[in-house]
Order: sequence, then C-alpha cells, then structure tokens
Amino acid sequence: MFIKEYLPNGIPVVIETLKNMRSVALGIWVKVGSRNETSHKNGISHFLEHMFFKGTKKRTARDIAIDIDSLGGDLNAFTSKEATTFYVKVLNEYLKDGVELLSDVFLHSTFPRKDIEKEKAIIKEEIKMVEDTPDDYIHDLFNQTIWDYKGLGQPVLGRSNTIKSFTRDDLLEHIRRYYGVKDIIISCAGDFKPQLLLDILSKNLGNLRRGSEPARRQMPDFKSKVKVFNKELSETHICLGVKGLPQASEERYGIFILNTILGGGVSSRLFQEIREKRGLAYSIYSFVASYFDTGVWGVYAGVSRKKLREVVGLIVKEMCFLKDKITEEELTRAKNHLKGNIILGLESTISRMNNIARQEIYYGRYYSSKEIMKKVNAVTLSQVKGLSERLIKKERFSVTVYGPVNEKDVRGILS
Amino acid sequence: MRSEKFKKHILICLLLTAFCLLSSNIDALEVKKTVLTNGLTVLHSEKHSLPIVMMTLLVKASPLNEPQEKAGLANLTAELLTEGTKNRKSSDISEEIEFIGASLNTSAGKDYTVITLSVLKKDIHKGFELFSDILLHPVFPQNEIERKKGLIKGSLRQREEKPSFLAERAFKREVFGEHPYGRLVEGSTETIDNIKREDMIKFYSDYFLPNNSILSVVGALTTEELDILIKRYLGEWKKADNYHPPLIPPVKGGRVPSPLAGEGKGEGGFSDGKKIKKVIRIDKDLMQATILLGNLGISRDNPDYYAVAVMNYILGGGGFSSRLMQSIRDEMGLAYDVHSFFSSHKQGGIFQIGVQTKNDSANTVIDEIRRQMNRIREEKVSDEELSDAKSYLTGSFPRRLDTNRKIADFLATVEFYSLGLDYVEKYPGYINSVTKDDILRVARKYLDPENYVLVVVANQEKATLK
Repeated sequence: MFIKEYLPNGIPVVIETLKNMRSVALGIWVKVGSRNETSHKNGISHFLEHMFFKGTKKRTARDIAIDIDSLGGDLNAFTSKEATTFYVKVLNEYLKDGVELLSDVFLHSTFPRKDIEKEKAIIKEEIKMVEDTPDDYIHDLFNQTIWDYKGLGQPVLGRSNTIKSFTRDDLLEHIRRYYGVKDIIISCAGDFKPQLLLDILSKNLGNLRRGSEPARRQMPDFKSKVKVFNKELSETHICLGVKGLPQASEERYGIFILNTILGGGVSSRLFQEIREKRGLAYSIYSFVASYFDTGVWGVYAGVSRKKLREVVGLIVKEMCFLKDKITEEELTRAKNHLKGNIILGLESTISRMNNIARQEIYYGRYYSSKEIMKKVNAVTLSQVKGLSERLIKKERFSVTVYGPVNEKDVRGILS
Repeated sequence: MRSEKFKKHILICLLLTAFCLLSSNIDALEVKKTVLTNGLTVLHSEKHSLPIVMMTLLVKASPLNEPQEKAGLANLTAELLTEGTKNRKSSDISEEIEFIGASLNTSAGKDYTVITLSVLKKDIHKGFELFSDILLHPVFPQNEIERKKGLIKGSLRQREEKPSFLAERAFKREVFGEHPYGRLVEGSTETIDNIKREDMIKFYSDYFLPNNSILSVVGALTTEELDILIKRYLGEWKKADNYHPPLIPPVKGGRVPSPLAGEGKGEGGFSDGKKIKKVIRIDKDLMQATILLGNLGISRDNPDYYAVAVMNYILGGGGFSSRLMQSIRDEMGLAYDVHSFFSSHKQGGIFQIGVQTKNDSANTVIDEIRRQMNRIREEKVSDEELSDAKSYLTGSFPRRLDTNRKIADFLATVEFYSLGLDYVEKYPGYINSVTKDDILRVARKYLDPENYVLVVVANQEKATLK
C-alpha cells in the first residue's frame, strides 16, 4: 500500500507498506548533486555526504559505526548527479532506533575541522580507485564529452584540486543553500504501521526549519563530437550515444523498451551481433541515463584497439537501423523482460524505497507496479520505431574512446 | 518433444520427507526436505508474498573434479549448458527465457556448479521446461564451444587490466599452489585450449546426476504443484547405479608452505614445507597500490569457523567499525576501503586483507596491517568490541534471507555444507558462545604477521616496498 504524507514542516514522506517483509529501508533524499556544483567546488556534495558520518553532538564517528552494527543494520549514503541520499536498513523491530540514528546524523553532525583534511585524503584515494578502473572511468570521460566539464559533465567525486580547496564554511554554505525542507524527501518501504513511522519521523525530523534557495540549474546542451583519451591499456574502452529523454518524459517506457532491444539483455541485438555472432567484444551493453531536463542513451563496449572502427561502425549501424528492423516479437520480448525485472525488483525493500523516492522526485506522484506494467504494455511498435527515428541521427552521435589510441585512429570514425 | 517411453521411468516418490522450521526472531521459514528415488535432494519453501518462484540447483561438480591440465573444464561445461540442447539452439534459449521475463543462469564455483531460474509464477511451466532442457539435454555444439572459449579468453585478457584481478590471481596461486583453489575457475588460456568436447560430455555425464545434486525451490508454489512439475520435467533424470563420485584429487600444499600447516581442515594437506614469507610485486602504471596480505584460512567445517567469524569482524570484516577501517581509513586517511576476509570452502580456505592506497603509502599501510594483526594476537578484544560484533553478526543474519532468491541459494548451500536445516535457529547460539579467549586463540592460530603472502600491484618505482 502506498501513502504520501507530510511532516509538520512540510517534508513529504512517501511510504510503501508490504506484508511479510523482514527489513525496513528508510531514505532521506536531498535534491542536490554534482550537477548543481560550480566547477571550482566540484565534488562538494559528495564530500559533505562523507562528512556527515564524522560525529554528531552526542555521537563520535565510532559511536555511529557501533550503534548501527549493534542494530545489525546498514547505515550509509550515496551521491549522484542530482541527489544526495542517506539511508538506513534495519530489521522491523529496530525501525525506531534506526530512524533516530539516521536523524541524528542528518541533523546534528558537527563536521569537525580535524576530520576535514583526513577525509580529503580518503576521497582522493576514492578518485584514484576509479581512475585505475577503466571500464568505470570511461563513463566519467563520456559525460565530460557530452555535457562539457560543468554541470552534468562533472564527476560526482570531484577532482583532486577542487577537493583540496574545501573548507568547513563551504560545507555549511552547501547545507544552507540546498538542504532546505523544500528540497528533502523521505521514503520508506517495509512492514510497519505508517502512523507509527510518521510519529517517529515527526519527533526526529519534524522540527527542522530551513529554507533553501531556488534551484539553479541550466539545461545543458548535448555535444556531438568524438574525443580520445590516450592511455596505455590492453583494451580500448568505448562509450557512444545520442541525446535521450528527461526522467519525466511521457515516452520513457518507449526508450526503456528500445534500450532492452538494443543492448539490455543476452538476447539483445548488440549482445547477439557483436559478442555472440562476431566475438568482437567481451563486454557490451547499452544504457539509459535520464535527468530532470535531459538524458543520454548510450552504449559501452570494451574491444581490442584493432577492432575499434569495426565495432563503432556496427553499433552505429544497429542503432540507425532500429527504426526499420524492430519486430513485433522483439517488442513483446523486451516488454516481458522489463516487466519481469520490475516484479523481481519488488523483493527488496531498498529497491522499493529507491523507487518511490525517485518517482516522487521526478514525477511528483506514485505509479504502482501494476500501472507501470500497463504503460509498458501500451507501447506500440510504431511508437518505438518513431521514437528511435527521432532520437537516432548519425550526425548526433557522440563518441568517447579511452585506451591505447590517438586522434588519427578515430579520424572519420562516424562517417 | 518428450516421448512417451520416458513416462515409465517416472518413479519419483518420496523416500524421505522431513519438515523443518527455520525460524528467526519473528517469522519462521518452513522448509520441506525430500530425497527422491533418483537420489535428488529437494528443499522447498512455500512463500506467497509475490507471484515469483526462485530455483537453485546445486551440482557437486567443480574444479575439484577436473585435471589440472584441463583447468576450466567445470566452468566451460556449465557455460555450455545454455548454448544448445537437443531441442533448442543457443539463441532460442536466450530468446525464450527473455520472452517470459525470466532469467536462467549457470555458473561454476570453487566447490560446486549452480543453475538458477527466476521466473514468474504464471510462466512456471515454461520456465521449468527450459530449465529441464538445459540440464538434461545439452549437446555441447562444437562451434559454440569454440565461441565460448574465445569469449572466456577475451574476458581473462580484459580483466588483466584490473589491478584487483591481478592481485587476487597471484595471491591465490601463491597460497594454494597446485590445489584447484589456487587457480581461476575459468582456467587459463593454455588449459582452456586443452579442453575437448569429449571432456565436457564425460564431465557432464559423470557429475550432472540427481544423486549428486541438491534442488532448492522457494516461492509461490505448493508442494503438490512442485511434485507435478518435478515429475513432468525432471522425471527422466536418472541416477547412475552404483554411483561413486570420481575421487577428488588430494590436496597438495601451495608453493608457499603455510604457517597454518595442518591446522586447517585435516589431512595435513597444506602442511609440507617450512614457514617462509613471500612477497610478489607486480609492476603496473597505476595511481594506487593494490595490496593483498594473508595466507591459508580454514575450511567450512572447521569447528573454529564461528570464532574466526567474530575475530575477523573485529579485525577488518565489519563495516566502518572494524579496527583496520578505523585506523587505516578514519585515523590515517590512507584508503577509501580496507577489509579482511576469511572465505571458507569444502577443502580449505583463504584469509586475506585487501586495501588500495596511493603508491607511496604502501609501506605505511602494510606496517599498520601487521601491527593490527599483532595486536589482536597479543591482547584480548574489549567487551564492547565483542558484544558489538556479536550483535551485528546475529542481528544482520535475517537480512541475508530477505529475498526468495537469497533463501533459495542459502538452502542449497546449507545442505551442501551439511549445516543442518535448523542452521538459522542455531546460528545465533554459535556466535554468542564465542569468548574473548576463543578470539585470542584463533587469532594466534590463524593469523601470522611474520610469515605471509604479500601481493602488491603498483607502480613499483613509487611504491618502493621495503
């Protein structure tokens, strides 16, 4: 059962109760992420997220770690381009303790100065970890290519030189600007009494009074270009794609279906053609990333340097031909695949908690899994063909290559 | 497709039925165990909260059963099951399974192979039929074998780029030596080339037998419905008469003799040689050094398993509260993550501490790891640490069973490692009975801060290991 309520201070609470679930997941979502950062403070949202766990007025960092352990729970946070999320997952009987702990961290963290420098070092290690993982790092490089090095194009972790500059005042300023009650959403999924949860939340978070400045967000342009990042690697990593759709687009189920057909599963076109039939890439998949106002539909492949041109050519060809080639059977298969995934995703309280929060953030309303499946079913062959025709134009492709490759290896790669 | 003559072979009846309540604090997990006349052990738990069914078939076939020169045989056999049957070609299988929004996967691990099916209740017949087809009628087409070999070799090449992969591979090889646990489940490029179609057919017919397997089924399915499905789709699966599982190769010592000699699981398998330290440096142009330090651990049936679990939690297993995390991450700020693991298998196990830090901090981090190993061997842990570890391990246990997929996998492994169907009930007792003296004892027995295998993948010029 889904319920939406408000705390006395206006923070919306979205709730999905489910019988027979053993654990409950609760998240506090703040609508700020790396895209909201200025380029010289890139990484501050993520840095702040880390600093929340350094101690509160009544708990040291170690107390926080021990308290969550003693509940047998998980307390953590993650930052993306558009949101910072703090969450707790505990057994049902510890809901109250879990919410108390999460609220303490969220409201009463002290951000000790002595921990700021230490945390900078930890995050620099995190950045190096990503840079040493090429199939991860290529996605950062791709975002940089398509959105430029600002807004959506900036890495969530920031850069070593921006991180170096952060001060305690920067952290407090970030909270003042973006952590107002208007920009917060609470979501919770599990087996519990909604009124009980609301009482607990009101007691812990209901007194927060903080305004926030209106969101500053510029709609970025999608840049169509080819970029090479040279690095001595044994493999060449490629990301390429076209502009996609914003989160709340009416056509979102269409693009999910298209993506499934293109590279979403083992029977998808790219997987079958490039990996299974031609053995040109071990790993190849397509992805959709959608934001408030825009999105990208892309493909990743890891190939040997010699096969780079051939694989890029084949991917572009597959994408351009979608509008003519998709069959009714493929459409049905993709729909069933999507619907199967939706139902299997219902098993975990964390994925339900994420799901209802994202719906609230992007659509401002709730869609039950039944409604979503109905919408998936309603998509027609001509709609997906039409959508692929509108999105995919050869001249709109953007390509990023990371590996033992230089400019001349990619010259004219899209022609 | 299934001919009439098979029907008379359907002799499945219940030999042994046991009901068991796997209960945790609040809810109970009812599991029914049955051994069919063909020898297949079936574990069934009925759960109607969602219209889905999860199945896990565990087959006792793994690298433990393959010759060294054909390393990768178990894995390749598992991979080929979905690549063509008497009734379907490879692409038919993936298309049909995706057509019903289900997933059907096979994989070989250190001790066994699993085939898993996740399917919506409404499509259970189709799902079961596909599951049965890949299990009972694989044909191992030559062209698919070649293609698969190419893909596996490609993936090995691709993974060479990952420092963690290079480190793990070298570490296992050094710790386990010639034992199958010392190599990748995938084998190597050379051994994969040695595997022939006949090897796979023989491996399949030697091991993929009902009396060598455990089937666990969790979800929206009654016992009657499951019986009908098993009869219809697995009825023709016949046990091998006078089946004696082919002998598992004897466990031989690693190239690095272990300080734990003979103290893990019996047979003194890892016991030859004297205690030495081994350092492996792998040079790669990287921002960070990937460090693994450890040695042999314990097998799953070692009575010290639970004391080791609590000790490891305090040392470096626990989330943010472990000693290694507190010192190396929180106090020194030298790593994003640091963890210690004991992973335990049928014939032995491994202990390792893993961390990534900037190249020039490698020495400092290694010293601190050794200091923490010494500390837990020399002084008793505090009351607070002990009770904290126990409450986490017992309190988080039910969350390991919070989806039907997890329960299906859990039941199959509980049965495989003979932990007893009352394991969920007993687990808190096992953990809560661990004392501070136990922790000191197992730390001294299984951790050695002087003689260890150390692997460092780094820009060696910058790391300048001592």
